[in-house]
Amino acid sequence: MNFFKLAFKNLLRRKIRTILTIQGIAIAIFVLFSLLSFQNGYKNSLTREMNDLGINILAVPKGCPYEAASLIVHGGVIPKYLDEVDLKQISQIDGIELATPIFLSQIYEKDQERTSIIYGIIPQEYTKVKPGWKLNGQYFNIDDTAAIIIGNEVAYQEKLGVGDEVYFPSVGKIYKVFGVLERTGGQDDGFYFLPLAEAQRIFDKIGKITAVAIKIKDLTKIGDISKKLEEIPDIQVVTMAQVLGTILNLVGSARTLIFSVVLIALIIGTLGIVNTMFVTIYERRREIGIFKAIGAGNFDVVKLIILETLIIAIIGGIEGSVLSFAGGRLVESFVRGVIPYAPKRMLFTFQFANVGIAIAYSVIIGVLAAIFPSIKAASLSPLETIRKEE
Amino acid sequence: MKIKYKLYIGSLLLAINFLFAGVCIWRFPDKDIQTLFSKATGYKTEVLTYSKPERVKIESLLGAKLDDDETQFNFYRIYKDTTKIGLVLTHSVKGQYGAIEVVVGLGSKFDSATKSNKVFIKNLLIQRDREVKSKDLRSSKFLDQFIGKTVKSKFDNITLVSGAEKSTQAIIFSVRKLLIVQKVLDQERVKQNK
Amino acid sequence: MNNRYIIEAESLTKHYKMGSEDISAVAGVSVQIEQGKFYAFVGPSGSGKSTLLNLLGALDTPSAGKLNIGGEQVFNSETNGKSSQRNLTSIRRKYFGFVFQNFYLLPTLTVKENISLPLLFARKKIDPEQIDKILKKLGLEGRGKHLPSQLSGGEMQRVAIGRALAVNPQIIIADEPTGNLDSKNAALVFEVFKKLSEEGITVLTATHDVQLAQNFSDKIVRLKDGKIVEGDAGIC
Repeated sequence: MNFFKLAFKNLLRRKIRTILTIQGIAIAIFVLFSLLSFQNGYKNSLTREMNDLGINILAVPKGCPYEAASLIVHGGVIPKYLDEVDLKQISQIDGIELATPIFLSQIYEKDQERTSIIYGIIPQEYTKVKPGWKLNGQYFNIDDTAAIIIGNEVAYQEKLGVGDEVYFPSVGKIYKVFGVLERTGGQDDGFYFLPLAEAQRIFDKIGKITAVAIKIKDLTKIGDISKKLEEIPDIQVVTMAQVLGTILNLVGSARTLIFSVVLIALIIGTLGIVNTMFVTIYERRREIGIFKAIGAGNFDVVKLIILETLIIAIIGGIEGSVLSFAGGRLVESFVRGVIPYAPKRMLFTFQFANVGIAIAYSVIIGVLAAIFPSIKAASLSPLETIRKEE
Repeated sequence: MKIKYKLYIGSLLLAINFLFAGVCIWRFPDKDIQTLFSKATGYKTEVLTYSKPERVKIESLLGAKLDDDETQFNFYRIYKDTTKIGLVLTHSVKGQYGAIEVVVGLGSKFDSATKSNKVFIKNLLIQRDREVKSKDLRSSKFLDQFIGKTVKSKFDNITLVSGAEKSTQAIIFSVRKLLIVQKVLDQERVKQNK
Repeated sequence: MNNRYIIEAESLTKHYKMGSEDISAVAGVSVQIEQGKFYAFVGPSGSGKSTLLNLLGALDTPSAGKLNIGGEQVFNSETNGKSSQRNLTSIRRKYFGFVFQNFYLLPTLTVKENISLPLLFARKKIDPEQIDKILKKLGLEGRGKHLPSQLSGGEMQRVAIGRALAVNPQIIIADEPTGNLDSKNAALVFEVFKKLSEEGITVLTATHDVQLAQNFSDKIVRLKDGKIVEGDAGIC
């Protein structure tokens, strides 16, 4: 005989209620667990997705953040540029992992109605903001002057492969195709990539930069970093956050909704435990009286009841964790249906730390739920409870 | 998906629509049609695909495989009012410095020897190229050599553009292919129907 | 106070509030309980025998009077020496074993486990041999692993006595122990009490059954309206 065994046997005496209470806790834990997993998983996959996208912030000359894009498409010339001083200032901001200059322009040949979008890049840097890029062939060096990398669609249209040559009539220069990008599914497929200096040279814009692609170390600091960037006089900042603003808001409100539901589930679960313990103790007044009559002290009673609650809470916690492990995918598909923007990767990541948190939560709830009823039980006089039946 | 699409736009990088199907399209019909058929009043586009035996036939006549993306051919039927007066076919071929897009105008006349209509090149032009010798390749001095050629013609008498021999060969190949495609997918089908 | 008496009560009083009425369940009872004797408190319902037993067994706090158990002052209204709950618990643990009319065995625990329960609360080591001895003494050999539901009423009450004995009490308090038993089992229980008193354990029992009391107990105390009307317990 020990207290644990006694507590356990007491629980067995009220099998159905014990089982129901455990289910209540398990569901609360399941929900909590799913939330924690979702929290981690969602943040991780969104972060990774944004990382795959590469560029977190784009610094462009003041006055034309979005127009720049459309100008290029429609054959205009971007009127404003950044320069190396700006780049230097940007690079010095804390939290920036990489700031790489881009020179963006286009060659328009009227007679053929052909627009070739030219991207001047530093490949060794630019590939870091384009982690998804796969290249057939090889990247050129910064100082190459007759090397080019082409997007997949360009290669297809122009029937060009690695080792072929491409001629830009208006530039009057032949470039050797060093590499062809594998299909990205994005706009990169339609671009010609030249070494930065060469691109600047052919458009006679030496030292000019159209934009600076910025990758930051910690995406959560994107707000602070954009603020600092905006302090640089010449530049205007386009952050992914701005673009994703709507998405994040929508996700935010969906998450608030989920949070509320979870919170309610947790409160209900917790109240359920408290209620069960209260009812149990009311029913067990006599038994507690007997315990006291045969020598149990107040502390023994408290201990016994808390122990019983703990057993329920721990079993419920474990069950809840197992449930979330098994049911995570189910919830995932549900959440995917509800949430406005779901990254491709798993939203729910099973983490053992979460098991710890979930069980710790159920234990804390259990103890809190038990403490008041148990003190009330302990304060019963043995006689009072025995006398009741007379 | 839409959101994701926006996301790409937002990453600044401009979304460009590539509306290229497998076929090479006729880019400047309004401008070209006058060059090719001075009497034309309009045109209709007909998309033709080939059957397996037709493909085999095309490839054996051509002596080369069709490109993977050449699953269909656009036949631009040229009209003068309601009368069909010709056909325009286009083809994109790998040149020396990128693709060369050839536009061929075909006409037909009755051949008393074979007692059938003979399809011949009425005119041709290059709508796009990246050639260093673009000017020479687009010159009438070069292109006029193709006028009158039929699917049975020999092309070895064509004077190559010096410095763009590879591209010249590519254009010849392109023209031959279009003539063969016309023969198999158009002329022979009409015959069979009769 | 004399060491011969394990419990000494003087003018012990207990009031209850019943609605607006004040009822004296025990009205100034003085008793001296000798060690190793079997006392039977008899009287009709409402005579106060149970209340008195509860007071003597430190289950309840008196309203007035003096109470000494084992020479320790448990309660003295004159010096305002009211005993706290905790003190009562330790007094109970030290001296008493309790037997109730309804047995109050835990249904999920086996006979042996029920008997060892007080040892758990007393934080004493559970000695299986000692438990076996108790079972033997109560004629419960072979019942050790049974659950209460598998026992007869008489057996259950003997298990309850065994539970009271587990902590080696000096005094056993048994309130109507035979109330739910037939006469044969009732006699068996009283026989056990007699045997225990012969071994030096003081037994205090309350019962309706005067015949049974006369047959087995050493001393009979008759109560009426919260007062002793006749008895062998010292001062009357």
